[in-house]
Amino acid sequence: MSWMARGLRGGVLTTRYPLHPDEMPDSYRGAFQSIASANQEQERGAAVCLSGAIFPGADRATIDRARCFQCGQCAREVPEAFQTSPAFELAVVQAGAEAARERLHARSRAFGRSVHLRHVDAGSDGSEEQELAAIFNPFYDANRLGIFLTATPRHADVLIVTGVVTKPMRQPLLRTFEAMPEPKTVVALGTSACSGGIFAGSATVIGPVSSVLPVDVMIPGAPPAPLSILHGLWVALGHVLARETTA
Amino acid sequence: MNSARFHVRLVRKLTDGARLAWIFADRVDGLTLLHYVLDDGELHVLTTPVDGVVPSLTTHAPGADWYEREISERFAVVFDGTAERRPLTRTVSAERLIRHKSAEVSTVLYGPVRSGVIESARWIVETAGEDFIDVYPSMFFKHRGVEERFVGVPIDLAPFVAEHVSGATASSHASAFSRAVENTINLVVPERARATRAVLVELERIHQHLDSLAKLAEDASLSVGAATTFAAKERIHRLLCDATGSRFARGVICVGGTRFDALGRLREICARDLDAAERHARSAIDGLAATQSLLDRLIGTGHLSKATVKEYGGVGPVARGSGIACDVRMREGYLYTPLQGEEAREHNGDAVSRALVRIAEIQRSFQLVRSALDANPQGDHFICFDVADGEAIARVESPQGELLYFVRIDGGKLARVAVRSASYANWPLFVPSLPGNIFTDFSFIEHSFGASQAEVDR
Amino acid sequence: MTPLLVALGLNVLGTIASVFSPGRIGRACGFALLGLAGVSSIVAATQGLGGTAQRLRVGAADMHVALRLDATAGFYVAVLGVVAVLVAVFAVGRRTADERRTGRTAAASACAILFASLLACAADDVLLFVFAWELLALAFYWAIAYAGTDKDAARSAYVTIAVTHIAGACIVAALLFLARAAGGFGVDAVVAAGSSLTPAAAGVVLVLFLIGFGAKFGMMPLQGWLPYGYRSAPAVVAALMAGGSLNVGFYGVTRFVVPFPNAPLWFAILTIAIGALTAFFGIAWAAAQRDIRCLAAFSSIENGGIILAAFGVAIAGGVLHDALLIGFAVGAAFIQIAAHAVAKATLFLSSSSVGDACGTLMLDKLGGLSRSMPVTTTAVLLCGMSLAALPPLAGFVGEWLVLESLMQAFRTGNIVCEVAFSLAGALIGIAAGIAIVTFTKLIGIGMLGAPRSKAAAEANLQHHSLWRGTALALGCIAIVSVGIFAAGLLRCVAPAVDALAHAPAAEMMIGTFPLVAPPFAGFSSISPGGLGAALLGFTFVFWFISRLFARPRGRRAAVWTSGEAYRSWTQYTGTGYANPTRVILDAGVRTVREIDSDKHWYISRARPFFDISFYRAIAAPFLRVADVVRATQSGAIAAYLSYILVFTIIMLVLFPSIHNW
Repeated sequence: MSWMARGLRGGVLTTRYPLHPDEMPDSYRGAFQSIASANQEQERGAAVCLSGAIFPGADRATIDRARCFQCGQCAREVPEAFQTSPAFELAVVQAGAEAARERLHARSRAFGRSVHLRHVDAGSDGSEEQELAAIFNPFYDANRLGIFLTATPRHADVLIVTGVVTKPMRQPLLRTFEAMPEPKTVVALGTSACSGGIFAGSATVIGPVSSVLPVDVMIPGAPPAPLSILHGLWVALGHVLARETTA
Repeated sequence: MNSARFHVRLVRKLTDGARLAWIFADRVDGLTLLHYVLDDGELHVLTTPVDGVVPSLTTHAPGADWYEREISERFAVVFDGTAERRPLTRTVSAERLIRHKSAEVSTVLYGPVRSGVIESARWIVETAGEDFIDVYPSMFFKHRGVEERFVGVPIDLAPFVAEHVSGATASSHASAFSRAVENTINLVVPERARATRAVLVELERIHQHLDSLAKLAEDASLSVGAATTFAAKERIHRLLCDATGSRFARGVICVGGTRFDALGRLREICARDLDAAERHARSAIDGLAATQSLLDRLIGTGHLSKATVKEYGGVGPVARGSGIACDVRMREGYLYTPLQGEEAREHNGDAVSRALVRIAEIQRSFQLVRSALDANPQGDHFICFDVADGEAIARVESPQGELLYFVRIDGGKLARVAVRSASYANWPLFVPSLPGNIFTDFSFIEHSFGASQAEVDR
Repeated sequence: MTPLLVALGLNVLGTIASVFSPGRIGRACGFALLGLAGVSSIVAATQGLGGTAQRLRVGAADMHVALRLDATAGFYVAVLGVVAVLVAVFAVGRRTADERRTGRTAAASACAILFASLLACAADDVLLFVFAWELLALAFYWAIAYAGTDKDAARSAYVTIAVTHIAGACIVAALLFLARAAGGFGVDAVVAAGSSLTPAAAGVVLVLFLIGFGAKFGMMPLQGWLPYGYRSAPAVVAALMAGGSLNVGFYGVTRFVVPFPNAPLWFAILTIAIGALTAFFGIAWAAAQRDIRCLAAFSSIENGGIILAAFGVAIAGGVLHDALLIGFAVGAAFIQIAAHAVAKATLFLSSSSVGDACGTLMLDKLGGLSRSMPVTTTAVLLCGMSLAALPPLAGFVGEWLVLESLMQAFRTGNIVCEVAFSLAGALIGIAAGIAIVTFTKLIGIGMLGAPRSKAAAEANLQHHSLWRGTALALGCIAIVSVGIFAAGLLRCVAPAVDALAHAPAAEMMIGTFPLVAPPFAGFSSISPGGLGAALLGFTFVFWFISRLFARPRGRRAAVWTSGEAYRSWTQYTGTGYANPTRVILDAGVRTVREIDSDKHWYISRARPFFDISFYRAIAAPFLRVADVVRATQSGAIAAYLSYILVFTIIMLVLFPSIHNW
């Protein structure tokens, strides 16, 4: 049977996100919220958080979404203080990135919203790459949104960096960034890239992407789901606003 | 026993047909210990303290080269008789790695930032046109120090670290790590947890094999084939996400069983979605196996003889593609009782053999998932245990092949965790597979290995 | 006739002056006189091309020397003159690094080469022609063995003299055979005597001619000497050899073979076939070369093949009594000869500049010269484009005309001819394609990019002089103008073409100026000048548009090499670039690659078949016979006396029969 027939027989699989809403299954551990609880319970949650994303507070704890690698240990161990939700629109716009987003927005609009991505793996665990590649599979088909991958940074508008930046990857990452034309946007993909994740503060790594490059948009997750990545890119392109902006 | 006699014993075991599975080092009380893991059906760990210069095993097992070089760079152990003097784990300037045979040869620095969405690695390819004259894998750009990160982490959180060694094969890593810790106290986890782990690892094998096959199709510019295969992979991720809350089933497996009872939910979701996923996967792989333009690129490409794979101690689909029986699942009744029947093997040793092994394994894994879900062992998903000092080794058949974990617990805390991933064992075979191929075969051979860089660099 | 005599005299003077004057002065005098000789050759050529032939006889009826300057000779004298002027202007300033000692020998041998070449072209009796031919061979030997610094010079000179001896022997045999039939030594009479021969005898004579003349321009399988000779001679002399004296071979073909009255058809087809094969293999080997000068030498072989194929068409035209086809083919050959001469001479001169600056001519060790040596790079670029037959340069016009002449197969009305013409056209077409690869390699690897070695990075420019710059600029002008004014050139050589065709073919090839076309109505035509103007116009328009729409400022950034810092050793090498061509043509090119067991080095060599080993195999039985015969050469007087006695007795016995023969 020809591939054409195979493809047609499969029917349309593609999501209409982000132009129309889509959602992850209810069981998806996307985001965690702290609910009103005793400080002691919050401390217990912080103790089981390997990446130190939980900061106990008076009424409820603060959860640094950029550090959370979605293990779910806090909600499992201390359900009194922490809740999980299937939210996937987790992208965070860095302060000061608005101007860059505006430029990219204007430019991508001029070319029918088409943008080209260049990806650099700065020290990921390998799953971020597979999820980034997944946004081009028939279920998500990022090409329909005018999002394309490019081999050369010369043609790239957006630099997507996965993983915590290791020492040997610092120079290659900087070279890639410098090889890109202006205006350029940097997206940190995955918890390790956003904050260093469990490797933050490790002597063997340099740190999150922001310690090397000016990051515009962060897409946390370990790894971020393809829908999260689509959302993050849509945010980076200035088409939608992120839920929150870091100070 | 002095080191010379130890070496003689090692060599005798190797010449008797044992496979050198791993060499790793540990430092205990200021003393550096070398552990040699040999496999003659059973795993044997031979340990010797480092006392001066250590004789190299590379003449008897070329696969020892990477282990010895890594140990010499990380633990300052001097090996005598290693042929390769270029650094392995230290990423140095390319000038120190090229050989520059003549002015006719140009050197392609392929990486670390390569085209496409791909993990960072640098291949130093010396060529005079299209054929490979010399290829040097210059890797460890992604060395994050995961093994060091384990140290001191509480046992119940440590599987999360294992999942960071290779996020795409998180279940295998978490299982292997957990199993190693359980081995230190001879803990037998409940049947229900074993079945859950088995289902997760087999589903992981399916999606990783589909990923490798899709990348091969992509290399052959078979866009529809690649898209169909990637879509089949996506179905497995969706199934896992629905059942476990994570698209890569992360955060499920822990020491002593599973963190929550995932089997019930897995049964529910699989009853709903597994048939569709299997149909999709079958359609994709049947299509790939029948596409002549893809097979033409794979047949004869990246050939590895059985002898070469044996010498280097290759594992997983790479070894099985060259006709070597090496499936851990056939021998160890950990995740499930030892498998019956024949493991998938091909005998040509080329890229298409490796792809066919993967195709057969995908079908097998679907059967295994179903049988584990049908068995539906009752009971608890977790067994409580007390941490005790000790050390142990464990292995699991990850999608890429045999995955080994070593764990040493000291004072109730993790003191040393060492990982020998399947990709690490197979990468040294990449260069011997290149002669006779040309530049455009490179990505086919690379993807036929299906290695994960993250678990090599750690 | 006087300018020709002046030119010959100046050459004699030049040879003597450079041999007998001290060092540097001798060299300067020699090259200055070579230049003057070149100028007077050009003046002489204008006389020759004027139409009426000029003759000169010196000596008594039996012992005389006859010179003749007609249009055909005029064309070749003009080419020789132009090349000599280019070489002289280039060489007169500084000595090049590849000349031995003071460079006196180079100057002297250059003068001798030009003298012999001019004499060969102007000789009106075959004895003088043979004398000039042998003199040329000796001058080559002198230049190759004694003028250069190449360490293989002795072997190169040996191969050269061996091949030219075989060639000389063939020519002498053929000419003497014809002279016997003609009863005289006048060139025209000798050629006309062909009509009295049986077809078989005519065939033998023509094949001998083909071997003899073909050796000079590298016809297969006698091409073996050419890369060695051109590489071992100093570049300035090699330029004169490749650009100038090579054409004496073509002169021989034009003079003795094309007008041969009784040529069989198979000979025409043989000529075309050998020409096409020579062109194909010549350029295939050139593509695999790693040294500029070897590459240029093999490209000469290719051009020799193309021109020979054109002459083959002319011979076929003669057999089939198609005067226009003769004229067309000869005209095409002439354009191609002129194009090749200027381009090849300029290329060799440029290679001399490169060699002086970098100390090497290995392509893989050059590169990055476009910035440090802009004039030389421009010259190499134009030479390369012309030799790769890119419009609107000289080589394009020449090759286009040759291909057009091969496309006239349908006119012959002979199935064998049609097949041969078509196959030859296809081979030459492929050769043109490979030529583009070859010269892209030459320019891209040798000149452009980043320096590939320390020597290239620190190119020593102190050899540069106004003389050299002027010579290269003149060469460039010649390449461009032969292309653009091809119609004008055709008009100049019209008397020569028409004389061979016995029809006003050349006029018919010139359309409304500057159009060039086959002399057949309703066939395609090109305007090299118009093409040049159009290309220039397009370039300007493109530049203008890009200026109009481009962002105002560009950005300079490092070369992207996968996140690594850029290094010059990551560049493509010449071997690497030509590798796909090499793989495709492996059956013919036969590259030998050597990779040692530990893979610490890699060397590739293109070894043409019909190379030295081939000659050695052919020569082996003869050498064995020679070894046996050597035993008779004892050196004892008695032995020699007895030989004479035996010989005399045999002669006495046989004499009556010899007399009757």
